[in-house]
Formats: sequence, C-alpha cells, structure tokens
Amino acid sequence: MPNQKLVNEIIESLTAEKLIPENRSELIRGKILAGTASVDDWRNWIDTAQLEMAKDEEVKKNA
Amino acid sequence: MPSRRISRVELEKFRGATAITAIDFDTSKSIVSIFGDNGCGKSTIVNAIDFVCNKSKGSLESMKSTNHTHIVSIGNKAAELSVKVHRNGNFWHGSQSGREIIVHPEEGMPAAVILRRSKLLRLVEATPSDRFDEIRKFIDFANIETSEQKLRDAVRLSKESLNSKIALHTQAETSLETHWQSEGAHDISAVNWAKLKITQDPSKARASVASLNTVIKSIEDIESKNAEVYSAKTALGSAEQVLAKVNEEIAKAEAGASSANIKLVEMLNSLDLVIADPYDQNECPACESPYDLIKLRVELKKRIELLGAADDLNRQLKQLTGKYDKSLALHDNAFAKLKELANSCVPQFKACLESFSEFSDTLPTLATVTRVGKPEVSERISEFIKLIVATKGRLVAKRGEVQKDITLFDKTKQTYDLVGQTEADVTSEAKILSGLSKSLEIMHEIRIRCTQDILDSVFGEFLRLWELIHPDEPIKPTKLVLNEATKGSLNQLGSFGEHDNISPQAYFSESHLDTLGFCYWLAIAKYSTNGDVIIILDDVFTSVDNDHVSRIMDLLIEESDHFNQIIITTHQRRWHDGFRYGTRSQNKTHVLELGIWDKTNGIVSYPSRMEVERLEDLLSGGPLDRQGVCSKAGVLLEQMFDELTKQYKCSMPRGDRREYTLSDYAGSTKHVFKELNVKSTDTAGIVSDCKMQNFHDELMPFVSVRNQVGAHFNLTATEYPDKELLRFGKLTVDFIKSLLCKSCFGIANKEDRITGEWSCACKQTQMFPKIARKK
Repeated sequence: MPNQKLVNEIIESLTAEKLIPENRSELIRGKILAGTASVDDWRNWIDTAQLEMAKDEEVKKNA
Repeated sequence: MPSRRISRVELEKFRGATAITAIDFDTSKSIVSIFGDNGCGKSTIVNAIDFVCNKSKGSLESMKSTNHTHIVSIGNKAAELSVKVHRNGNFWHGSQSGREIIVHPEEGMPAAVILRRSKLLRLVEATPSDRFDEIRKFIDFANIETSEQKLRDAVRLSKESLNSKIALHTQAETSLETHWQSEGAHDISAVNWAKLKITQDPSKARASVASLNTVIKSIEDIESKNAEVYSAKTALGSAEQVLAKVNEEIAKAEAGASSANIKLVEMLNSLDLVIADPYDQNECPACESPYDLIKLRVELKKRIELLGAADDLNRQLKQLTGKYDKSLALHDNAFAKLKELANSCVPQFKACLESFSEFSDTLPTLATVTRVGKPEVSERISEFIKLIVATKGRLVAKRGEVQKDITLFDKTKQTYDLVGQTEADVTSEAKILSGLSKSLEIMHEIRIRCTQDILDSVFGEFLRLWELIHPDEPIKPTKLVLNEATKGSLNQLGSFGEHDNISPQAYFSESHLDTLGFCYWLAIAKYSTNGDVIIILDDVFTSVDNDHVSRIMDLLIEESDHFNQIIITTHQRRWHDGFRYGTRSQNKTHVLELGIWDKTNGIVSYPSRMEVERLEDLLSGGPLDRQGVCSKAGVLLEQMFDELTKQYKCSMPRGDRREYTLSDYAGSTKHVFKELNVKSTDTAGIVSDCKMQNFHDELMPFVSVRNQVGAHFNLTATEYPDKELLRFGKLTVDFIKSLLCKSCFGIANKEDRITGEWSCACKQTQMFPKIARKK
C-alpha cells in the first residue's frame, strides 16, 4: 500500500531526527494514517521528544 | 480461479431502459465492444454498471442541471428502478431510495473505473490542481495530507504564539527599563541593576516594618485608651461635683427638719399609697373606727407636701450616688487597661528603638520614664504616653521609609522575574516551532517525493502506452511533475520535435490530447488497481483518425490481459467494422450491437454478426437477392483486398481521393496471390493449407458483375443468370473464410514476433509469404 509505505518513511525520518518520541511511533503512525493527528498532538509529540532529548543529555552529562 | 468479469447486466426503468433489458457478456472474452449509434443506450449500460459498482449516478454526476430523479426512465417511479450486475453466478442489485443509491449485497461488487469523454476532457484541459484531483483518488494520500495540514496549522499557530510571547517579553523588558529609569540607576544596564537589587534580602526590612507596625498599633491603642481614661475622669469629676452639691442641700434641709419628720414623710407616703383609690372603706384599716375618708385624704396630702422637699433631695442623692459609683468604676477599669497596655508596650517600644540607630536618643528618656518606684504609677504612665506619642511621628516616617525599600524590591523582583519568565516562554516556543517546522519540512518533502516516485512509475507506463499508439511520432509526453510550491498541483510536460518541457495543451492536436488523457488515465488505473478492475471506456475517442483508432484497439486487446475486463462503447463504425469484416480478430472480443432505441422496446442489443455470415444468409435459399449478393460480396472483397494491399504494401493507382475500385485492388494484388498461402488449424485441430491463387483467378471475372448487378441499374445485369451470381457469392464466402482464422475470425495480419510470419491474434492461422515479390 503506497500510503503505508509513505507513513513508514515519514515516521522513520522523524524518529531519526528525534523530532518525535520513538516509544510513541506506533500511535503516531496510526494517527497520521487515519488523518486524525491534531494540532495538539503534533505539539505534544514534538514537546515530548524535546523533553526526552534534554533528559538524555542530562543523563550523559551526569555520567 | 473464479471469473472477475461481468457476465450480465439487467436494467429496468433505468435511464434509457424503458423496457426490461438484459445484456449478456461473453466472459471467455476479455473485451466487450458495444457498438451503437448515438441515442441507442450505450451510456445507459455504462451508467448501470457505474450505479451498482460505484453507487454513482454516472454521467449525470457532473451535470448540474440534472438530479437524482433523472436516473429513472421517463414516466416511471424511482421505486420501480432496478439494475442487476451479474458476475460469476452472483449478482448485485441496485435500486434508489430518495437520493440514496442502495446496492445489495453492500460489498464485493465488481470494481470498475469508467472513462467518459467529459472526464477525458477534464484530464486534458484541467488546471494542474484539478488534474491532481483526478489522480488523487488513485494515489490516496488524503489522510496523510490531512495530518500534514494539521502539522502545517500547528506551525502557523506556533509562529503566532511565538510572536505574542516575544511581544510579552518586550513589554516586560520595557517595563523593567522604565522602572530602572525611574529609579535613576543609569550606571549599569537595567537587567544587571535589577539582578543586583534582588540579591538583597528583604526579610530584615519586612521584619522591621512588622515591628514598627506592632509598636505603632500599640501606641494608637494606648492613645485611644488614654482618651477613654480622660473622658471617664472628666465624667467622674462632674458626678463628684453634683453629688457634693446635693449633699450640701441635704445638709441644709436636715438643719430645718428633724430626721423624725423625714421618717414621718416616708410613713405618710406609704399610707397615702394604701388609701389611694380604689380604696373605699369608711373606717380605719388599723383600728376600724369610722372616719371621713375624703377629708382624711386631703389632710394627708397637705401634710406630705409640707414634708416633700426633704424627700426629693433624698431621692436625688440616691440617684447621684449610683451615677458616681458607675463613673468611678469606668474610670478605674479604663485606667487599669491603659496601665496594662502601657506595660506591654514598653518592651516592644524599647526593642523597636534599639533596632534603629536614629532612635538611640530616645532610649535614655524611656529608661527614666519607666523606672520603678516613685513617682506614682499614673504619673509614670502619663510620662510614658507622652514619650510614645511624641515618638510616633518619627516611627511612622521610619516605617514609610522601610516600606518604600520593600516596595522597590518587590516591584523590581516582579518585573525582573517577568522578563525571565517571558524569555523562557519565548525560548520554549521557539524550540517547539523549530521542531514543528522541521517535521513539516520532512513530511512534506517525503510525501512529494513519494508521490513523484509514483508519478514517475505511472509516467513510465503512460509513455509506453503513448508510444504504442504514436510510434515514431515527434510528439510525446515527457514528464508528470508535482508542483512542490503548491499543494496538490500536477503539471504535464511534453516535447514537440526539438522543443522540450512544453505544455501539451498548447501544442498537441485534439486527437493527440485525447490519447494523452487516455494513456494517462489508463496508466494510473493500472498502477492503482494492479489490474484488478474492470475498465470501461464510454465513447471516449471521437477525434482520433483511422490509423490511431486501429492502434488503440490493438493496445486495448493487448492490455485486456492485464485487467479483469475491458468494456468499450462506441458510436464510430470504424471501431466496429474491423470485427465485422474480419480484419480484426474476435478471439478476445465479444462484439455487441445496439439497435435503434424507441420508448416501447427501450434498449435492444444483439450479437454483432460478421458480414460474411450475412452474405451466407443471402445465399442460403429462396429467391436470390441478386443485387444484395453482388453488392455485399463486392464490399467484402474490397475490404479484404484493401487489408491485403496495406499488409503487402501494394502499389495502388493514384487518384484525387483514396477511393479504389475492386478492379484496382484486383490488379494491385495479382502478384501477392501468386504466392499467397494460408495455413490454418481449426477448433478440432485439423490443419488446412490453402493456396489463394485460385480464388483470385476465379473471382476476377466477376469484377464487372459486382458493378453491373450490385452497384448500378444496368440492363446488361439482367443477362447474368442467378446461377452465376450465386457462384460469385459462394466464391466470395469461400475466399473470405479461407483467409480468416477458424477460431478467432480474424485475418493473419499480425507479425509474429517469434517466427516473423503473419499470424492471426490467436496464432491458429498463418499467412505466407511475409513479403510478396513483384515479378
């Protein structure tokens, strides 16, 4: 299915760039595919990914 | 594998089907070709399939002036409408309820995509965005695009939020700047100044203010209580004075009357009360002696009045003594409270004075005032009150001063904190915006690339189909490009000779644009369905010339293997004649004809018969239709000779118009027939090998018969006996049947890619030689 393939590629790229949280990729994939990803969802995903990234950096710094 | 082909369509009260109509399709053939003049019901059949397979009003969908009621045959009710589409022993029944199309069963109906002339024009003439809409349903990224749009909205809203947060931050900075300027601290920046300011600890100042507040409050309480003492004291003084005066008057009264008299007055008063009305005894209550009561009352009043003055003074004294006692109690109570307040205020006041250096001068006085021992307590308190009241003004001023520092600190901190908070908000929103923008960029880029990949893939097929219809032509499409700048916009590009990247709409002819749109549509349909679909072409090609029509037919026959079924309707006889005359094979095609429509019979369909069969009918018995036989035989021969001249590239006599007589054809093909040999395998597997030279030789003498009997009124024609004309007809039938394949009824006019020989479509018949030599 072309749309499945397209969503997979999008999720892969966004995850690789740490723009969305990896542990929520299945949920995000489903929402994008169903066309139900909302403005708040996008903000939330980006925000969560940034928080996780900051946390990781903090852990690295402390280690 | 069960057939995926439609086997039957039944229509009742649907559009042109005014009578119950059933049309059967041969499912062993991958193509159904329906021929009929305009108005015979071709589009009704296509609309019926669309109605059931796609729940669509078909060609009525795009017509603004029509509505759902126009689907029903004229003069009938919607409830009577019925369409059945059969496939593989099952059927799907379509009906109408109001505006809704109902199909039962609801699922599993054959998948069909329909190309109509109107749609073809839209594909060709549409704006890039409309063109994309046509492809959108095939490349269905609608949901992903919706999610992308939400991301785009999130970016826009984040930008707006960032701008408003920047404005708040600027406002906070301006507020701090203004505050900084009002404080006149210009030696360092506002932020550094504020930073410095808020490093000071305001708790000591707050404690000072609290202490000052307590002391000032105590002073105010003492002041109030002192005023109360003063007031009580004044009242007590007044009561004392009045009491003294009454006492003086009593003393004087006592001097004038004995205390016995006073006592008598008391007694008489008591008696007066006893004998007052309504006492009505005319005898003494004590001794019961008779007396005059009225006289006694008058006498008694007289005596009392004489002694009354002393009685008044006595009562006044009693009252004033009570008042005085009350005033004394109030005063004593107020003073006691004042004493208590003063005592509790002393340590607070002292501590407060000690905490501020500027009050050090007051401490010695406080020590003097609060010393233990002489003088009297009231005097000490009075002195203390004097001292605190005198100091109160300075204390209030000090409190204002400290409070001002605190207010400055609070305001500076609040403004500085707001600058910091708004700055953090700006930073956070900028980060979110950056993430959202990057995500949108990635998502959009991938979607466009993915779509372009699909378009490139579609384009490969599109170009292949185009080149099959337009081999070696200098004009062709070169690319399908999705415009990245705008959402959902598709540009078609082409080349014309040496000119690349031209817009086909500007330079291609109408027929080229038709085939361009057709190839584009077919390529998308193939890509998107992987061939699991029925392709329906509803009278699509109107401006395409004979050669291109022929190639389109070849292409469809070839492509029919890659789809479930292809259904073609046409009103053009040239599409149809190939099958009727045998120049086009029927091995994959079921050919149907529609009769003339009328309201009573509705749509009438029947299998299309070959012309050679119609000639056989004319020869089958009864009185001979002399003119009919010669005319049909002549046309059949001309059609077949025309095909052979094209196939063997025979020279033809030049004329103003490309019209040739049977005589012209016979002369040009003479050398071909010398070698012409047809090898055929029939359905039973019997191989026959037929040399065609004899047919040519035997038929040539009848060339003039065809003209004289079949084409004109001519007296000479009457001289030809029926027997001779019958022979002409039979020879023609044998000749045609010898040329045509026994299986597919087509002539061997396809070049076999393996053997290089002429072969029919089903490869059961071959024709030799490949090239005829002119001797």
